[in-house]
Parts: sequence; structure tokens; C-alpha cells
Amino acid sequence: MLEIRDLTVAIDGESTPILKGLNLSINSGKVHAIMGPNGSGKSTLSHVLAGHTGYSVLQGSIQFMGQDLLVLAPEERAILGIFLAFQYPVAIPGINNMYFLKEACNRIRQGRHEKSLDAVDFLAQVRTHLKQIGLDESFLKRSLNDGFSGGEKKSNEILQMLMLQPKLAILDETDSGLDIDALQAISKVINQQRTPQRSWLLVTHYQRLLSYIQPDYVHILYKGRIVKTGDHNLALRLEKEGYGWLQAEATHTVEGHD
Amino acid sequence: MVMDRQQADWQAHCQGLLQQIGCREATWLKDWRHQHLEQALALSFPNRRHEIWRYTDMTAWRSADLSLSLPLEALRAYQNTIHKETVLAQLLKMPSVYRAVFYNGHLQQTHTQDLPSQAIISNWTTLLQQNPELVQDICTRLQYKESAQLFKSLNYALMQDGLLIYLPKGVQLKQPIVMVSLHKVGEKSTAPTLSCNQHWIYLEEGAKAVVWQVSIGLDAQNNIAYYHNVATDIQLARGAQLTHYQLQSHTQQAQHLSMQRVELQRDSQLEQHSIALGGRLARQEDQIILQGEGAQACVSGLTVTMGCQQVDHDLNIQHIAPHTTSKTTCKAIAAQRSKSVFKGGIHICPHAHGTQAHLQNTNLLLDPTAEINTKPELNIENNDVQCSHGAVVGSVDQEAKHYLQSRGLSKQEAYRLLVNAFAKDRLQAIHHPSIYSVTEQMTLDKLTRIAELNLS
Amino acid sequence: MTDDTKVLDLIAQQDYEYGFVSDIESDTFAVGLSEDVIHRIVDRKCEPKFMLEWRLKAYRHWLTLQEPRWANLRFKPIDYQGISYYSSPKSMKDRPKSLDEVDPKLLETYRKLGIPLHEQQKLAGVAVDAIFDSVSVATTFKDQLAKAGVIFCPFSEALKEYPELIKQYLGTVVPYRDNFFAALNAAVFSDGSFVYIPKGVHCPMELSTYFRINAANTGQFERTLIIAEEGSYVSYLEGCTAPMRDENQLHAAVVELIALDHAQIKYATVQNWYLGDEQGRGGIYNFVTKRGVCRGAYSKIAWTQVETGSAITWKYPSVILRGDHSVGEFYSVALTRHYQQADTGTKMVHLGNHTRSHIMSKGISAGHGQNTYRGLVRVAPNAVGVRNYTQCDSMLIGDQCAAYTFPCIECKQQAHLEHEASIAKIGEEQLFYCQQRGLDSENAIAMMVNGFCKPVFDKLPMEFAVEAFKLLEVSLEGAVG
Repeated sequence: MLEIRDLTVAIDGESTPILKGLNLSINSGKVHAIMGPNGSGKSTLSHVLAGHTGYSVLQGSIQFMGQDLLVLAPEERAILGIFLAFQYPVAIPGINNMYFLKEACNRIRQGRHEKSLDAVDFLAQVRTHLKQIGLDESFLKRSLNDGFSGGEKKSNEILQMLMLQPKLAILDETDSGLDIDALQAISKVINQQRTPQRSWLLVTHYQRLLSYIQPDYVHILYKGRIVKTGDHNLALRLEKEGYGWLQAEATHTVEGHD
Repeated sequence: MVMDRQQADWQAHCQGLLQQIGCREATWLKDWRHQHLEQALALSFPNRRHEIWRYTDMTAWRSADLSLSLPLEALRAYQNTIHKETVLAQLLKMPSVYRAVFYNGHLQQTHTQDLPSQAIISNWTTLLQQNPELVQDICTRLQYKESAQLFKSLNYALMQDGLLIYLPKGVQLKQPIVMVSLHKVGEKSTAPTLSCNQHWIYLEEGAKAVVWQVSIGLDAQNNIAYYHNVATDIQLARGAQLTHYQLQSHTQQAQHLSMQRVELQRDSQLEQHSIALGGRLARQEDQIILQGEGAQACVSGLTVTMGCQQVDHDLNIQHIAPHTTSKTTCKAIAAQRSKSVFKGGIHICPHAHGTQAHLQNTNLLLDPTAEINTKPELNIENNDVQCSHGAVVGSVDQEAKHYLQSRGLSKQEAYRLLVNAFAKDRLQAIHHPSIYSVTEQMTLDKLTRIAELNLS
Repeated sequence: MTDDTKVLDLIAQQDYEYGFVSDIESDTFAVGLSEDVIHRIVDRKCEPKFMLEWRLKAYRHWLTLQEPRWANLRFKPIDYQGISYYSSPKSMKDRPKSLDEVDPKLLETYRKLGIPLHEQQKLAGVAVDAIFDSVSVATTFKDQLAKAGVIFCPFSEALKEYPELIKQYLGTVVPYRDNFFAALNAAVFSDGSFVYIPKGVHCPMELSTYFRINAANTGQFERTLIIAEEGSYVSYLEGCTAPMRDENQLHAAVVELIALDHAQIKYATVQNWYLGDEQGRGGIYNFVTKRGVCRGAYSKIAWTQVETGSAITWKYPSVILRGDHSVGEFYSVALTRHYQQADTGTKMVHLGNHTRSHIMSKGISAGHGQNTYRGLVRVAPNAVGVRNYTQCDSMLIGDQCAAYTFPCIECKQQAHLEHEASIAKIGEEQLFYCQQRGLDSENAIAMMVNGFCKPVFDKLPMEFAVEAFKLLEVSLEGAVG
């Protein structure tokens, strides 16, 4: 589904790359977790996948569903099925949360040649999902992320994900800022959403999230490369030993799985 | 025609004042004075039709028959009064400080024991004898800095004395520098006197200082006015840090005009706390220029007025470099028929990306006859900013007062408590304990007088 | 919504759609201003004698004044002798008795503008008065309004039919001495709208005036006077367009509103005069004095404006709150792009007890646009229990534009006054977030601008709110790369 080859990326206008020849393949229905210390390039990867203009791709390619992702605008990628749950969702005062959700939902449906939802169907869906996440309906009446607590912002991202039905969901540090109850609720929702057609990329610093959402693969991103790949046990080892031991092993690079 | 006549009188008067200044000065200084007097007189006198003077009537400065305070008279008067005024005791005996005391604009004493070598705390009339080139150099640099402004040019023309504080690279003073400016009308004199001061505070790279600038009017019962025109030039080099406390407690007859300009270079920091309590007309003009990347200014102000007083605070903050920040919190309390004027201008230049500027002006109007005018202004020429301002005018919260009374406090006590509470956070922002204690005492004295008058 | 159901139809087009010039023979005075010109205007319009005297007084006073320069605006000096002070479509010389007599070319112009003058093309519940250059060409729904006792007619007609009302109220809110442009307007204004709502009448429909400058080198100086008697209600909307010309044209209007006890006036403006081209050439100079007085207790005046046009806007719709418990409101959206400059805001003068005012200003700057909010809240010494809340937000799009906020509070009595201002931007992060959710950048901008302006649009009559939004959306196309 997703095929990243030799990806080298720098912040726009700078010459030192943050990602240095990253390789990663993700197949349908799989859950991949990317872990790594601060500054290893985790957020850069998720931003580049979503098409943020603040980075320049110096080398490499990204294929998604057989298409060259790098030539597509962010909204075209969204229509194709890439969803990024942001680590820090921006607040936009003045835009009604529900209005935004409906607009986004229908734009994406139009782009996928699906029928737009009418107000009744839309509301019915939203209500179901709100309940799943454990949010109150008044949540929809507020301005987009404006004045939301950290946890509310993260929940809002998940709500959007449920409505937009992506093929690849990238969750960037979604667990940070969530208390244990909220984390459990969200994990439960995500587990329900695991289907053979949908892939997941969980970007996280801690393994906490992974004890609720069992990953198929765990990758360690270190200094712009994936240096180790394993299963859930790798995450547990990181939990116990920290990232220090990577220094020694950083020399032999392990490529991504199929 | 009337205007012309007034203008002519004013010009003649200023020329006369200049003649009162010692004739033994160096030629360059004489020229400098004359040049600035000419500049001042070429400018039209502030008029309330001008937007910046809309709330402020400066005509007293023109109509008064002023004479300059003289050094010798100042010395005698200082020696006579110094022991009588108890209010000074605390100030003048404050331990562990560097100190400079001016009387009617002339330096009387300094206390600079243990000052690190190469650091300077000295008045410039002394420096003129020891190191005239330095004074000339500073003066020459000063005059090109900004467009001519009448009272500043006048200050340059008539300046009598002033303090130079200079800290070389990396010098961080452990003790605060206290600059006290005492004012009193001469024993026998009936005519008002004018004193003009010019202070310079220059901190080199990484230097750090706490400066407390205090102006106090003695003999509050005297009905004769005195005039004080003071200009302060402050330069903070890269990474320098200045905490600048100001306390102004002139008599209710005094005319006080303070013009201050601060230039901040890269990563330097200014923290300024101004408390203004006195003056018939007291006006403080602050210009803060954030010239270097990462420079920060934090401005706090409190003015308290009563009776015939008017206090102005005209603040102008310019964000020139990227990633500069300013935070301004100014409060005013106006009682009886007094008048409080605030202008807070924030200017964000086109290249000042990543700027943060926040300004809040909160006012408490205690009497229906008092007046508050506030003009917070934003000039934003760049879209990468976080910027806000706010202004509030309110009166004592009747609900809160009622609540306190229902808990057993007298009406008077409740009122006093609420007014004090309003002022409290501005006082508590003063971190130096001795400075805090003197400032708090003087502020609370004034607030108590207001509370008593209000309910008597 | 079909195309012919809206007054401000067609506005939502990308370029300035109204830039066409109508080829209509007009009777235009030679350029220049003198007492003679004023005599001729009065003659041409057969005005009563008191008007001549009043105009001449205004003119003589104007001669003593200087063009104001205190605003945050830079513009080339205006040559007041290079302007024609009267232009009228020739066929109007003998005013048509009915719409059938109106020059078909003129009607064609209004059709292009989307203004239905034919009553059969009913605009649901909106009566229109259309002003072409200096004269009113047609007013619709007059009979229906007359049944309710409402007078809605061209100013020139009101001078003939209701001279006493005019004499009683003209210049009482904006005297000719008020300012330079008010004096000029008083001296030379040629037409405008007059509205009178009798005691207790709730005006049965929206009233609307549509202004159009057509002839070259002409200025437009109209004057609107609205009187709402005790307990009455009226909602009024004006719209404006002009042809694209390289030179600047002057528009100096005056609006006076008078609300008596318990009366309510809502006055909305959608201003879309020609704004000049991308290099800042041409465009209308819009110097307007608008003021209302809440004379009676519990009266209310609300100004709503959407300002998207004009090269220069100088405009401060104000309310004098004289009656106790009266309310003044000001809701504004001002958009500046290209090289537009707007210096706009309001004055709320609290003279009566327990008077309240609410100000909400939304300024959007894009391109090289400059947007200034200038406001004054004044509390007189005798006014107790006054409250004001001001909210003033700016949005910056791009990095060449500027926003200024100059509020001023003058408080001479215990009162509760609050001012708040904030700056928002449409930046890359906000756009990226919306794009990631499937919206393209233009959708995203439209959505953010709409969100930003919504509190003001909510104050417009519904059918115009949609138009106003479209107008902004179109104006901002391509504003972010």
C-alpha cells in the first residue's frame, strides 16, 4: 500500500537532512509503529507523508496505492485516503467544529466519487462516533480546536478520522496529553477500526499506546533512518532500557519489512 | 496675533534661561546648547488640537516665570532640609546600595563603594572635568537619534546635571543603584524653579543591573510649583539585563516631565516598573525600541491620582527585530476630580517576524468627577505575530464591597481593601525587598488618603 | 436562489464586474465649484429657498476648512475644481412618471447590476431606490409603503413634498460645520434617499438604496435622512458600485439617522465601489460621514457595514446616545487588498444614563492592503451606568499588508468599558491542517474568513449576508499562494 524508498528530507531552505534515506513498506491491514527519541524525525515523516510544504524532499520516492504521492497536493492525498492525526492540531477560532467536519467529509466523499452526506445522515454518523469516543454533543458547537484541552484536541482528531474513513491513518503522538481513560476509549475505537483494507502508522515516543493497540511491526527511527525493526517485544525493550543502547547499534541499519 | 506674542515671550524667556547657565563651559557644549534651543524654539508649542496633546495642557510650562535652580542654592537647601524630612531617612540610609542623590537637579552626594573597576557611576558635570571627550561623544551620538521634540530639545539646551551609569562587558552588579532626585522650592523664593536632568544608563554585553530612579517632592504644603524636566537614555547591549524601578512622588504642585528612550540589542532584557503618585501634571514618555533579535521588554505601571492632578503615561514600543517580545501591564486609579491619561502604542515592523506583544491597561475610576482617557494602539505590519491589547475602565465592584461588608468590614474598610487589591499586583511585581517596601508604603499612604477623603 | 432575486446579485464574480460604463447621454455640469454652481444645482432641482441659503452657508464654511489629513491614509491631493458637481442622465430631465418612461439603457444598466427596478421582478420584501450619478432614477414599492404610512422617496422629491420635515431635521445630526466633507456635501449634494417611519409603525419591508457612479470626472454627493418616530422600526440597506476608471473619483456622502423614544433603526451598507487595479491605479475615494442620534429613551441604532471596495475609505458611522437606556451598535467587516486603504471605525458618544454600546470590528488585510480601526467611546460627565464592549479583530493574509488598531476611551463618569483586540492570521499551518482534511486552499481560506466575519454577517438581513460572504470569498481568491 505504502512504499517509501530512500527518502531524504530537509526543512525547507536548510541543507542538513532530517530524514536520511528512509525505507519503509506498509501493507494493507497492518499496524506499524514508529518509535524513536526526540528529534529523530518522526514528526517530519508524518508531515511529509501528508504533504506539508515546509519540507523539501531531496531524494527518494513515496508510492501510495500505486501513485506517486510526492506530486500530489495535501488535499489530494487526503482524498486518496491518507489521514494524519496531528500531534499539535491548530486552533482556528471562528470555524465551527461541526461545520468543518461536514465540509471536510463531503469534500473527501466528492473526491472519491461517493455521494455527499445529507444533514440527517451526517448527524446520525457523527452522533454514533461521538458516543464511541465518549464525547458530548456540545463538542460540535465549539470553534475548531479553539480552547480545547490537550485531550479534547486529540479526541477531535480521532472523531475526524472516524468520519473520513482513511486507508492509511497516521497517528502522530496521539497518546500524549491523554489520560488513561481517554487513552483506553480511543484505543478501543482504533481497534474496532482495524480492517484488512486499512493500514496504520502509529508514531509514538512511549510504548504505552502499544499495549492497547498491538502493532504488527515496530520500527525504531534514529537519526533519520530506521535502525531496527521487530515486533511488540522491541517496544517493550525500549520501555525498559530507553534509547541509549541504540547508539551502539546505530551502525547496522535494518531495512523496513514488507 | 495673540499666539505670536506668546511665542515671542516664550522664546525670550528660554533665551534668558540659557543665559543663566555658566559661561565657562567648553565651546562645543555652548554650541550644542544653542543649537538645541534653536531647534526647540522652531517647533510649535504643544496645542490640544494636536492628537498627541489632546488630553494634556502644557501651557503652564510656557506661562510660568521660571528660573533655573542653581547649584549653590541647591547645596545649602539640601543641607538644611536633609535632617528634617523623615520620609527620606529610609531611602537615604538604605544599606547595600550604590547611591546618587540630586537636589533640585544638582548632584549632592554619591555612594559608590566597592564598585567594580571600569564601571562608572558619576555625574557628568564631574566627568566634564575629568573626561570631557566622553561627555562630548555621548552628547554627539544622542542628538542624531530621533526627530526633534520640543521638550527634549529644551532639556538638551538647559541640562544642568545628570548621572552616567556605565557597566563594561560582563559586569553584573549585586547591589541596586538608587538614584534619588529631591525637589523643593527655595525657602525665600516665590517664583517657580526649573531643573533639567539628563541621565545615561549604558550596559555593555552581558552586563546586569538593577536601577531605582526615585523623584520626591519635599515640603508638600508649599503652594509654589517647581518644574522638573528629565531625559533618560538607556542602551542595553547584547544580552544585557536591566531592571528599572521608578517611583515618582512629587508634590501636588509640581510639573514633572520624564522622557525615556531605551534601545535593546540582541537578547537583552528590560524590566521596567513605574509607579507614579505625584505632580499637578506629571507626564512620562517611554520609548522602547527592540532593536536586536530576541530582545524582551516587560513593562509594568501604576498611577494614582487625586485632587487637581493629571498623570500621563505615554508608552511606545517598537518591535524592529524578529522574535522580540513585549508584555505591558499598566493600571491607573483616578480619584476625585483628577485625570489619568494612558497611551500604549505597539508598533510591529515588517521584518519583525515571530514577535509577541501584549498590552493591557486597566483603570479604576473612583469618582464621577474623575476622568480616564486611554488609547491602546496597535500598528501591525507583519503577519507572523502574536499580538493583543485590551483596555478596561471600571469602578469599585459594588457586589464585592457589599460582600466584604456583610462579613463585618466597615464600608470604609471594604472600599480601601478593594482599591488596595486593585493596586496590589503592580506592587508585588517589584522583587527587590527594600525597594518594594518603600514603594508600597508610599503608595498605600496615598491610597489611604484617597479612601479617607472619599468617605469623609 | 435565482439570479433575479437579489439586489446585490452578480457581485460574487472574480474581477470587478461592475466596471462597465453605460453609454447614456447625460447632462453634466462643467468641472469646478463656485457659488454659481450651487445656484445652478438649486435651480435645476427647483429647491426651496431655505436650501439655497443653507447650501451657501455650508459652501462658505467649507472654503475656510482644510482637507483632513489625520487619518492613516495616503492619497494624492484631490482637485476640487477638477470635479463636476452635477451629472444627470438626460432623459431624467423631466422625471419619468412611471418606470415605463425610464430610458431603456438606464434600465439595462440596472439589469446588469442585478437591481430589479420592475416591480414584477419582485425582490421579496425589499423596496429599492436607485441613484445614478447624482439623481434618483426610480423607487420601487412606493404605494405599498405609503399604505403603511412610510415615506421612502428620493431626497429631491421629499424636498418638494415634505419640506417641513426636511427643514426640521436636515443637518441636526451632521451639521454642515461638522467636517470638511460634510460641509462639501451640504453645499453640493444632489440627491439621496429620505425615509420617514411614523409613530408605532414597523416598516413592512427592507428598504434599500442602490448607488452608482457612471459619468467620468463626477463626484457623487448624496444625502440620506432617516427619521424613526416613537416606537417605530426600520431596516435599511445601501449598496454601491462604480465603473473602472484610471483616475480617482470622489464620493462624499452624508447619512443622518434620528431615532425617537423606543424607535429602532438598522442601517446596513455593502460597499463595493471600484477599488483600483492591482497597481493601485484608480478607484473611488470614499469620504463619508454617517451618524445617528438616539434621541429618545430606549431607542436603538445599529450600523452594519461590509466594506470591500474603494481605493480610500474614510468612514466612521457613529451613534450619539442621548436618550436614557438607548443602545448603539456597530458591526463592521472591512477588507482591503491590492493597494486599498481603509480607515474606518465608529464613535459612541454616551450622553444619556444607562446607555449601552457594542462595537465589533473585523478587519481583513491582504495584498498590499492597509486596514485601520479607529474608534472612540466617550462617556459624558452626567451619564451614569454606561456600558460598552468593543471587540476588534484583525486578520492578515500574506506579508505585505498591515493592520492598525486605534481605539480611544474617554471616560468622565464611572462606567464599565472594555476593549479587546486580537490579530489572527491565515498562515501555512492553518491551511495545511484544512488541506489534510481534504479542503483545497481556497475552500480553506473561504471557511476561515467566513468564520472570522460570521458574527458581523449575522447582523445583516439574511439575503444580503449570503451575498456579503460571496463578495469576500471572491475578493480573496488567490490571496494566499
